[in-house]
Amino acid sequence: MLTRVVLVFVLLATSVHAAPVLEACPAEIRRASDTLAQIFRQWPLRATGDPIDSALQAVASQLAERAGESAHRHWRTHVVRDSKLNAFSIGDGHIFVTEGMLRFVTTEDELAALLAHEFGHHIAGHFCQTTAPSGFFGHLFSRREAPEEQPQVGELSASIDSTKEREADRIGVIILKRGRYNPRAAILLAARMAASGTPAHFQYGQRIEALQKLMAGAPHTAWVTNDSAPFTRLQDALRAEAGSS
Amino acid sequence: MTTTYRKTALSTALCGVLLVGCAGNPTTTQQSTTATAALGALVGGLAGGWEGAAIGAASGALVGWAAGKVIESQEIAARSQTKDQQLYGYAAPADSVFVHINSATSNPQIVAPNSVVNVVTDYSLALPKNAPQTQVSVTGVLLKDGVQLMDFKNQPVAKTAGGYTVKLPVNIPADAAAGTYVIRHTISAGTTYDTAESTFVVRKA
Repeated sequence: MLTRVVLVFVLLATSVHAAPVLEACPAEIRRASDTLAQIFRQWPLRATGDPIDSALQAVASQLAERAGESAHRHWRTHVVRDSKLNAFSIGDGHIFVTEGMLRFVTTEDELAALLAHEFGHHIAGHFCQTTAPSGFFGHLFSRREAPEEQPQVGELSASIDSTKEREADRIGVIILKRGRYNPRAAILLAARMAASGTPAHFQYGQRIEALQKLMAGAPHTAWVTNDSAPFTRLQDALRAEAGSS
Repeated sequence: MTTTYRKTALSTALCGVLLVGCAGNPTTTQQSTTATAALGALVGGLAGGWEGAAIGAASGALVGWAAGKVIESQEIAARSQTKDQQLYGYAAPADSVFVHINSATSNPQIVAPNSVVNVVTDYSLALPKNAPQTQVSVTGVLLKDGVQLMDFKNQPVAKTAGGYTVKLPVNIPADAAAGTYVIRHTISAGTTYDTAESTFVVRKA
């Protein structure tokens, strides 16, 4: 059994380094642009240059750099002024994270796990696999297991299937390993969200089990990540704002 | 195109924007907004309620500002949800509450001491289909040189979806220091909130 698991990891690692990275397709870029314009019109977002917005952007850029994912895509994060726990993407590198989610994560590894999952949706080409006019939201840890679900974020809706979520999880774990983050943070984050009573948009148990399978064979202690300067800046900005409110 | 990662063969079905509209009748409401001094208020507040807060405030750089006083604000349901959608080109959310500040202004932008600045916030409120109304709170903060001088708070009020305009008159005291002041406007509803800033300048003759 162990041999089989190790073999799977070897094959995954080999495949990661064997082929070029998928770039955004024209349809994805067009749809993301349309969706982005709509979100900017209606949603309460932190402005570019806002301390929390820029610190999150720096964390994402650092993750992309460390994982070797910065050359083919411009990753752009946006902070939604919403205390709910959520994160999602619309394609062409645009990732949205709620303030509630930013305050919920306790370590840089957890935040990296969240972002790596969203990277995974992009890299897997999930936003190129449709011709529909609006955006697709690949939520982190927020999907039911139904093959075609249509959850809604604000006025926008999306169809999610568990296969894509698992694929994003799998790619996310690879990204975390390549970036030298602790991939087990993905499990910890999912478990904490389940424990927090976050609405069960997804079957936590099944997802955690799938993540645990991905982790099999990974060392428990070799992924100690010190908080980087961008993450510390983000934490400081969040604390400063909480203190002033 | 090949990829470094194995892709699924499943296609992603994307959904369009939900266009949910309902008309509403604009109404005008008067609300009481309490202005409190943010700095010095704690010390003064311990000494004796709102008046004490003003005294505490007066011990610092807040002399003359209307700390602790009740300000009558005016809130207008400026646009129905349908009008709001037409104006800003968006639809009602399907499952969550959203507020979005469309504009935040302070008028006039240059004032003399002992006059009034009207702090105006125009915002949109979008609600889920099954929620006819939600509690909305309007708050504001007055800052100068990064120091918070006062804040303004309204009691939360239940509102239907649509566009609203809040007008709050702020008295500029006779001894207000010259310079640029920042008003931070904040609207909160459900789990979301939006913030915007406007400025005005106090110029002494």
